[in-house]
Amino acid sequence: MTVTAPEKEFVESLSKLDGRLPSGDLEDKWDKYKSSMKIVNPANKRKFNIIVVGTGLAGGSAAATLAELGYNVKSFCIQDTPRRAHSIAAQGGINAAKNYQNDGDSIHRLFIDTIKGGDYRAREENVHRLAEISTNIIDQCVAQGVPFARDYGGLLTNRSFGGSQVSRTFYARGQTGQQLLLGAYSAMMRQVAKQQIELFPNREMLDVVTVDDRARGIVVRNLKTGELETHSGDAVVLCTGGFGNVYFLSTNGKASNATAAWRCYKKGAFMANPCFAQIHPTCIPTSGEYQSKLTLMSESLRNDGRVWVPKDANDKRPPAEIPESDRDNFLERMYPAYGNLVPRDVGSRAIKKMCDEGKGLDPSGRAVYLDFSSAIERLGKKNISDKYGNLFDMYETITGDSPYKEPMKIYPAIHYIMGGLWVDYDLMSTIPGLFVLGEANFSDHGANRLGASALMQGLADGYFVIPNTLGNYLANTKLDSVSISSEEFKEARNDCKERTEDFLKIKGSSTVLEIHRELGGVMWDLVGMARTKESLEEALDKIPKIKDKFWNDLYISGESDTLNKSLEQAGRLADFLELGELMAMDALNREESCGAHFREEYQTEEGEPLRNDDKYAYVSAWEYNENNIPILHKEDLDYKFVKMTQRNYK
Amino acid sequence: MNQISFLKISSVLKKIIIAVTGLSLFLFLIIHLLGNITLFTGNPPGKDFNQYAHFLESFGILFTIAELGLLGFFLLHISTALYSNFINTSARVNRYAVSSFAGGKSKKTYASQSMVITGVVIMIFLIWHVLQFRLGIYYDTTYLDFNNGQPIRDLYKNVTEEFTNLWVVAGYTVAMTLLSLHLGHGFWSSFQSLGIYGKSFTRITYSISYLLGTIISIGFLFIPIYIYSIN
Amino acid sequence: MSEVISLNLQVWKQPSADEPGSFEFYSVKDISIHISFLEMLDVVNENLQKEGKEPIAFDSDCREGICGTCGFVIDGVAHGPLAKTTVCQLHMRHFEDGQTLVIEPFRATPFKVVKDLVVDRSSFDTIIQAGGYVTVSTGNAPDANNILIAKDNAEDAFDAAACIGCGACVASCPNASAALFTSAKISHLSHLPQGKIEDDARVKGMVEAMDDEGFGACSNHAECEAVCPKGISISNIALMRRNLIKTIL
Repeated sequence: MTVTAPEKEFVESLSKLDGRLPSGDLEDKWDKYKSSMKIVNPANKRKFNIIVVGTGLAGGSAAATLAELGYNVKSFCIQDTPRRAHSIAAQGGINAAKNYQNDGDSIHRLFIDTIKGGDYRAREENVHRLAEISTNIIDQCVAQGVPFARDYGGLLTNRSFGGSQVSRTFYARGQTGQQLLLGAYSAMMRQVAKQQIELFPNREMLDVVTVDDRARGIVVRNLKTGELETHSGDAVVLCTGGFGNVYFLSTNGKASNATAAWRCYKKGAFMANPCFAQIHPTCIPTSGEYQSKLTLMSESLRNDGRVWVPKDANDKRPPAEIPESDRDNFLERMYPAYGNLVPRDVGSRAIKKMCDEGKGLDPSGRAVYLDFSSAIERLGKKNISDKYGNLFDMYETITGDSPYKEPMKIYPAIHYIMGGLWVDYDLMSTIPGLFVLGEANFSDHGANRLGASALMQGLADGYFVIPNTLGNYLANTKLDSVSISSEEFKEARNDCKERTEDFLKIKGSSTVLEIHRELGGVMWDLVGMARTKESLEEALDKIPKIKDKFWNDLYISGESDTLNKSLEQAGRLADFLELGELMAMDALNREESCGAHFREEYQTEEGEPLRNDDKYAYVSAWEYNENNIPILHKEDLDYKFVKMTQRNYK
Repeated sequence: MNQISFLKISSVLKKIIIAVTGLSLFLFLIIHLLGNITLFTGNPPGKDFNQYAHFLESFGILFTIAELGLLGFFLLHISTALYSNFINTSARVNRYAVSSFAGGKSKKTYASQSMVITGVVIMIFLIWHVLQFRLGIYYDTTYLDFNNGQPIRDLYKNVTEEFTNLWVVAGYTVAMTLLSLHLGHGFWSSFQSLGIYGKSFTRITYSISYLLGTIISIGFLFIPIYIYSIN
Repeated sequence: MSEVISLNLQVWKQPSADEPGSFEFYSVKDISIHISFLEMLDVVNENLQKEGKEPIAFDSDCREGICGTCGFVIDGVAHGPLAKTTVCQLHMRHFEDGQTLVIEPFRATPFKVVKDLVVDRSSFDTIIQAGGYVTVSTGNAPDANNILIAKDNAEDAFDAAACIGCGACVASCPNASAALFTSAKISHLSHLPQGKIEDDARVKGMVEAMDDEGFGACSNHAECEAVCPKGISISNIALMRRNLIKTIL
C-alpha cells in the first residue's frame, strides 16, 4: 500500500521495512543467531553454485571463504585480475578492537565510535556485529601473511584515526588496503588452484537474473571480446563497491561504477540512503579540466599534519614565511578535543567553510595547507618519512612539490558511498538470494564512515558474515535447478544486448567523458558537500536534461564485439544519470543534516549538522517503479542500546 | 622421477649451473693467467714455460681427467646457456621497436645483453686456441738440467710462432675484448644466480666485476702483444 | 617554463592478438604539463573520437599507482623515464616540448596483446596459484600477537609484498623473465614465520609455474628493479634461488 507524497516525485510506502534483526542482548545477538542458523551439510555444499561479483575486500574474502567451505564459487571481476579491485587503493589502515595498546579500547567502544561517527543513522545490531568481528579479521589477515606494521618487540603496532580517541588502527605503511586485498586474493588463488573457484576476469555485470523472484544468475559482458555471457547459480553475492564516480571526479578507480547495483535496483532490490556520500577531507586539489581522478592523501596524515590557512585572506607569502601567529590552525581552533583528527565530514566542511570565506589557497581558492613542519621538527625527518614516506613521495610525484619542504595543499573529494543496496541483517537484499557485501550495501556506516572502517566492513562481511548467513539461506530454501537456456536468462541477455547496441546507434556528437563531466559538475555543486532544497531541486531539473543529451547526442566510435572502453563507460554513465537523480531525490527528502549529508537549512548555531531524530531516524530504501516514480520504504532505526545525542568533537 | 621431469630443469637451476660452471671457469682463467707468467721468466726464454707445461702433463691420467673435466665444464656452461637463451628468445617473439636503458638501479649493459654473442665468439676462439697450442705442431726441445736431458715439448715455440702473425694478434685482441665484457657481467652475476646477495656484497662485486674482467683480459692480451712487439 | 607542450606520438595499434599490429602517428598539441601521461592519452582519445576515429585502447583503473592495471613502454622503458612511477603517475612535466615518443605495449610471449596497449597478464595469477599463499582457511587463525615477527622481517616482507603485479619487470627484462614478480611473492612469505613453513613447496611450485607459462630466465640485468614502480629489489630473486637450492640440498 502506498501514498503519493505531495509535490514530490515519489510515493511513500506505508508498511515499514523489516531488517530481520535478531532479538536479545546486543552483545549476544550475533553469537546466538549464528548458533541458531541452519547449516548446509558439508557433502551438500559442493552441490551449490555461488556467484560472487567483485573481488575487492568483500568479494575476495567472500569467494575465498565460501570456496574453503566447499561451495562451488564463480568469481567475476571487472579488472583483468582479482588483485586489482579498488580496495587496493585504501591507504591508512583497518580498525579492530584489539586493545593491544591498553588505552581503553573495547568492542563496545568501537561500536559506540562507529555509531556516533555515522551520526546515528546505522543499525545498532550491524555495527555491533562489525565491532565484534573486527578482532577476528586481524587474526585472519596476520595468519595469511599480511605484513602489518610491528614494533621492535615483534608485536603489532597501531595508529590513531579520525573520530576515535584510542589507537586501534592496524596498518601496513600507507598501503594497508593493498596488503589486505592481496591477502584475500592469495586465499582466492589457493581455491582457484583447488578448482573450488572459477575465475572470470574482465567481466562487467550488466544484469541480475531472477527466476521465481529469486536471484539465480547474472549477465556479464566480457570486456575483452564484447561477448555477452549468462551464468546461473543458487545465490548471487554482489560485492561491486561504491558509486562515487557519479561525481565524475572522485578518489575511486576508473572502473568503479554503479551498474551492477543499479541493475539489481531495477530488478527489485531497494537502494538505501543513496545520498550519503562521504567526502574525504585530504585529497590533492583539482588542477585542470583534463584531470581524470582525485588522489587521496591518507587520513593518517592528520595524526601529525596540521591543517591551516593564513589568518588574513590576502596574505600571499609562501607558507614557510608565515609565522605561527599569522596561521589559522582552524581544526584545532574549532574542535579543541579532537583537533586535526575530527571525523571526515566535520573536517571536510570546515575546509569548505574556510574556502567559502575566501581563505582558500591559490590558484583555485579551493585548497588549504596540511603542514608537517612542526612534526618534522618534533620527531625528525626520518621518523616522519618512516610513517608517511610513500604518501609524501606520491604527493611529490603528482604535484612536483615535496611535503618535507613545504606543506601539502589539500581539498575534500568524494571518496566513499555509505548508501547502497538495502540489506537485512543477513546481508540479503530485497531480492531473495541476492546478497550485497561491502561498500555496495548500506549497512554499517550510517551517514558517515569513520576512517579505517571500510576495510573492516568489507572483510567482516566476506570472511565472517556471509559464510554463515548464506548457508542459512541455502539450508532454508528449496531451490529448483535453473538453466541458462531458460527464457529468463535469454530475455535478460537480450535486454543487455539491445541496450549495448542502442548506445552505438545514437551517433551524436558528445563523448562519454564530456557528458560525464557535466553530470559530475552538477552532482558536486548541487548534491555535494553542502546541499539545500534549492540546489537539489535544481539538480533534479538539470540531470534529466543531461540524460536527454546522453540519449540523443552521445557518440561512441568502434563496435560492441571487441574491447571498447567508451562503450563500457557509456553503459556506466547511463546508470549514473539515473542514480544521480535518485541521490538528489533522497537528499531532498531528508530534511535534516546528518553525517555527510549536510543540508544548509539544518545546522546548529555553530554550523554543525542538525539531525531531526523524530522525523528522520530511518533508513530510506527506494524501490524502483516501472513508471519511474520510485517508492520510498522506511526502516525505522529504533535505538535500544545507545542514546542518540548531538555529535560533539569539540 | 620420470625422464621428462628429469630433463626439465627449472630456469633457476639452469642459471645456477651456468653460475657454478662460470665461476669455476673464471678460477681456471686466473690459474691459467698465473701460469702464463712463466712465459716471461726463465733463461733461455721459454724454459720456465715449457717446464711448467711439462710439469702439468706429467700428471698423466690425472691431467687428462682434469682436461676432460675442464672441457665438461665448458660444454655444460655453453650448452645450458644456449638452451636457456633459446627459451629466453621464445619468451619474446615480438621484439620492441625501441630498446633503451632505464638507468638507476639497472645493471643492464651492452655486455649483459650480449653474453651469448660474446660467449659464442669466445667458444670459437677457444677451439682455435686449443688447435693452435694444445693440439698445435709438436716441437721439442731439451734442457740439460731438466727431465734428465730428455726432450720435452717446446710449446714456447708455438707461442712465439703464432704471435708474430699480426692476424693472430688481432684475433686475440678481439677475443680478449669480448672476454672482458663476458666476465664483466658474468662475475658478479654468478653470485646473484647462486642467491648470494648482500647490499654491500652485491654493490662491491658489481663494481669490481667489469674491472676484474678487464684486468684478466689485459693480462692475457699482454702476451701476444708483447711477443709481437719484441719480434 | 611553458605550461603546455606538444608531442609526437608513435603508438602501437593492434586490433587483436591474432591480427598484426603497426605504429600509428599522432600529433598532440597544447598538453598541460600538470596532467598525467594517461590523462594526456585521454585528451588524444577525446580528439580521436571527435574526428570519428577509434581511440587508443589502454588499461587503467586506480590512477594512483597502486592497482597495477596501467603500463606500457615509452621509448624503450617500461612505465617511462621516471623511476618508481607507473604511467598513471607520470606527469607531463617530465617531457619536453616537441619530443617524439614511441609507445609500445608490454611485450612478452605470455603477455598476449588484447588490443593496442592492453595485454593479458593472467599468467601472473597462474603463478600465484602455484603457491603464492599461506595455507590457512578463514576462522583458523590464532590471536594476531601470538605470532611475533621482528620489525626488520616485517619490513622486508612488506618491501617484497608491495609488488603491484603490473608486469613492468617482465616487459623490461631482455629475457621476458618473471623472476622479480615471482620472487617478490616468495620473498614476502618467506620473511614471515607463518609463510616460511611452506617455503619448499612454494618455491618449487611457483618457479615451475613461471617456466610453464613461457617466461624467460633471469640473467641478472636488474632492469626490472629499475623500472619497478615499487622499487622491488633483485635481492628477492637471490632469495628465491637460495630457497630453491635449499630444496635440492
